[in-house]
Amino acid sequence: MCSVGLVIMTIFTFVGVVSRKLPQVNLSWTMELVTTMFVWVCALAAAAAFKTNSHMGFAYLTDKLRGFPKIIHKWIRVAIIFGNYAIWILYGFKMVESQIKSGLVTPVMATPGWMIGLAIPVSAVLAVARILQYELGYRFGKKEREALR
Amino acid sequence: MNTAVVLFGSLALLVVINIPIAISLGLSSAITMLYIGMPVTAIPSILQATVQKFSLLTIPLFVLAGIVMDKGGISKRLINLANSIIGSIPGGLGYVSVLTSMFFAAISGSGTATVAAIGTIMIPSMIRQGYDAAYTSALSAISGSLGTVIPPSITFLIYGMITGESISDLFLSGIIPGIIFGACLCVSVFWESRKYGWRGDDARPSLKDFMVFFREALWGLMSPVIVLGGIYSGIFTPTEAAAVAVIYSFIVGILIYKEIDFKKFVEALSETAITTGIILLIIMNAGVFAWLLTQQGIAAQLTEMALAFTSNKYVMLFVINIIFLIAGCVMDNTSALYILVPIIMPIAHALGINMVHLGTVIVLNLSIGQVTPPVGPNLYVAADIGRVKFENICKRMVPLLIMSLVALFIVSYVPWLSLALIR
Amino acid sequence: NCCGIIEIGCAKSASKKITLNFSHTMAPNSVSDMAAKEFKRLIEEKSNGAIKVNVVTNCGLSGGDLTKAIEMAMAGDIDIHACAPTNVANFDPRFFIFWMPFMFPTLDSLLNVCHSDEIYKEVDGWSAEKNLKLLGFHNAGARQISNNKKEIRKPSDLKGMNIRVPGAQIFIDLYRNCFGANPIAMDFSEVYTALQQGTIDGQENPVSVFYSSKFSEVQKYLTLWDYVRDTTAWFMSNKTLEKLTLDQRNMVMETAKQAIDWANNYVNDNEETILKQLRGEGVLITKLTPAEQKAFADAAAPIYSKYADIVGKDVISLFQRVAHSK
Ligand code: NA
Ligand code: NA
Repeated sequence: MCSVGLVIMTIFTFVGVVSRKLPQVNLSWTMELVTTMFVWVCALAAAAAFKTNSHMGFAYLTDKLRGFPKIIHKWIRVAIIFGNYAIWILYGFKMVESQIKSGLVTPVMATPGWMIGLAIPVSAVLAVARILQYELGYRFGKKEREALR
Repeated sequence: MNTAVVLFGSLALLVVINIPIAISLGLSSAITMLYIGMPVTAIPSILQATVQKFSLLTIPLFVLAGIVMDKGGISKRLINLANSIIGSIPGGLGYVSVLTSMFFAAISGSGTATVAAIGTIMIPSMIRQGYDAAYTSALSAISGSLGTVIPPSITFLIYGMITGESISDLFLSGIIPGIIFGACLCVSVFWESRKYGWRGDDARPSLKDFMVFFREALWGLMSPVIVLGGIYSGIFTPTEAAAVAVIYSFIVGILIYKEIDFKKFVEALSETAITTGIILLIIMNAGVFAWLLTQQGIAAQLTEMALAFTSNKYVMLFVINIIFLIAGCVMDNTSALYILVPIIMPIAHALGINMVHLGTVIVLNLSIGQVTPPVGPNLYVAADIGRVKFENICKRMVPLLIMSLVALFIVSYVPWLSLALIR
Repeated sequence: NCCGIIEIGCAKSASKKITLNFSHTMAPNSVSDMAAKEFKRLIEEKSNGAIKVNVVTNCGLSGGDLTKAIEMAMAGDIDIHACAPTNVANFDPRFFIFWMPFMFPTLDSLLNVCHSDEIYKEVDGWSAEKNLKLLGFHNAGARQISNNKKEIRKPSDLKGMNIRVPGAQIFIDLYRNCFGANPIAMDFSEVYTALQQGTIDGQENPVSVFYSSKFSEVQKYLTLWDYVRDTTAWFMSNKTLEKLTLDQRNMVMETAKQAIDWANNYVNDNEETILKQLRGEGVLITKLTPAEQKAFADAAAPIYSKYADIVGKDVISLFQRVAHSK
């Protein structure tokens, strides 16, 4: 999904460069399309990085934990991250709702504004799913981990 | 001032218990907003506004260009070329490692990508030649830091987006400091290889070999010329240059070197997607954090405090160096920039520090931070490739770090080095 | 008794300090910024510090995003936002009326619209649908065209020129279909370099922007054709308005009006000074005669039929009537 987005973004940015050098051909919508896609690619990719627990953090101290405290820390950490995403989901959907009501469209292509804003709460929902996938995957063992994919 | 204490306090607490730094930035802002009785409804709006910018597209594009160049076989050819020039002198492979990292840095946007690309080839061959494994890995890790200083550089891009300075000026400002940084590393290689008697490659360099390797590597060497030349001459903007670099590197990798098949193509894209996701999640949340700093006037308060402490430009530069060296130890580049630059920017303005020069100083600091524990991505990558213990690579890093600090000192107090190439 | 309760209510709200977050789209020390600061000064003085104003430049409260700032004002996350009314056109195309070419051929025609109660009621009605309260709008300077090729005096001079325009369909239509030019939508931050390198031949912006962006270093000809007069509208969030007492509302409305008048006067004086400065720097400045201006207006006329459905025939005729009233 993200990969396809990246390819399209690259191509359109490149097309945008070329079209600007040629008089008579002017694709001013390429920038707008690319920006919209970029929001979605970022939202999806940010969520996808949770699947492998790749987001950067300061693990130096917590890596020293062993046994029961380690498990406690793990779930507190998950709960805190979920708390953050609860804000994204709750107020994100509220934002989308008001974007639909306001009738916002983009200036060149007239894309409805909520189609961009929706990326935020969707990213949050996917992130929550990916975190569960990662954490539960380790508890179930390898076979189940495969099954979850 | 209470607001600032809650904000920075909750941030520190969340980071210490290993909440991803991106989430810590957003969540500490939310906690602070709740504390002062402000609704958190604005958060999704800020998140969206922060990421909905055409210029940010430069980040995934430069990452992709670097990965494709590596997968397409350019790093291998650069090493062959450098080896045919200086491989045979004592400590030769050490110089090759630094030199090829400098060239690869000019192609890739990221330091860690440079370690992975050059280190994977250089570390095993240096160990085979009798070099110390820990020193070799340390050298590879810090040479990768050059990737952050020599343009194109994602760290410079982000600094430019925060401060509004011209990206092409910032890129140009990194060239001479990057070369000085590389030269300082070579001095360390010179001493160490004399001390331990690391010899060069037995094969004598021949002009014919050099010509063959040069022709092979030429396509890769052209990439920085196209990217930097294009930006400098104004033919394209940095974002467009990044797109051109991607297309160019695909053409070289698929049609000329013929090393990229469909599998590598998909790999490159998914690696880029993950890196993008990681960096952009930080940028989005840092957007919320920076917004709160502005909205509550916290940045202004901190600026006043700092200016009350000293109003000497040179002392302040020293303080900024210390702050960023510490930040570099515990934070990644993007987070450090977003947290600290909005606070330091007005101070620098007030003291008449050139913002482009300041950018070079900060980026150099952060590039050193990539090899200082505990948060040092280049260290982990290099230790992994060289199969050496983390403690050992840190120990052998010390002489290299000392030389880097020499480079940092020179660049900090000779602004001309950063500004000479800018029109 | 009744009065007592009201008094307690008043005392309570009066003792509670309010901070209004005022965001605008322009740089520090621009007209928008100075007008906002004038508002801040006046209202903080009048309310004895009960109402505080925090002015934030460059859309700093919405991550630098123009559209998002309006969205946040609608939601009450920004209290007052000053921007070109055309920024709101992404929400309601009637706001494009402010960018119709030659709608305000003279300064007086624009000021008529700025001061008209009829227009205020109309635009305030559009704003109310978006949960915004219009505080008023002021002149932000006419957009004048510059280029590096030749003096522009008649529509055919524009033929084939690469001109940077804001990223809105109305400009692209106007330049391509009416003037036969090659309009290029490009981020403003890239314009200077593009002019310098000749990627584009010209651009159009108010002279204050031309001056502060140092375009005089890379542009030789500047034509004063007054084709579009930019305005800055001040919108207050209805959510914020509801939080204010009646007295405070009146104070905000009245003070906004004063600050807006101040801005109108300032723009006039400032543009004179800037033009003098630009002449000194060697920019060739051409002021079109009314007849020459009319030739451009005639060429641009097809835009009116195309946008009649989008903006509304009645809106166009209302604005035209008020603009040309004596
Ligand atoms: Na680089
Ligand atoms: Na570090």
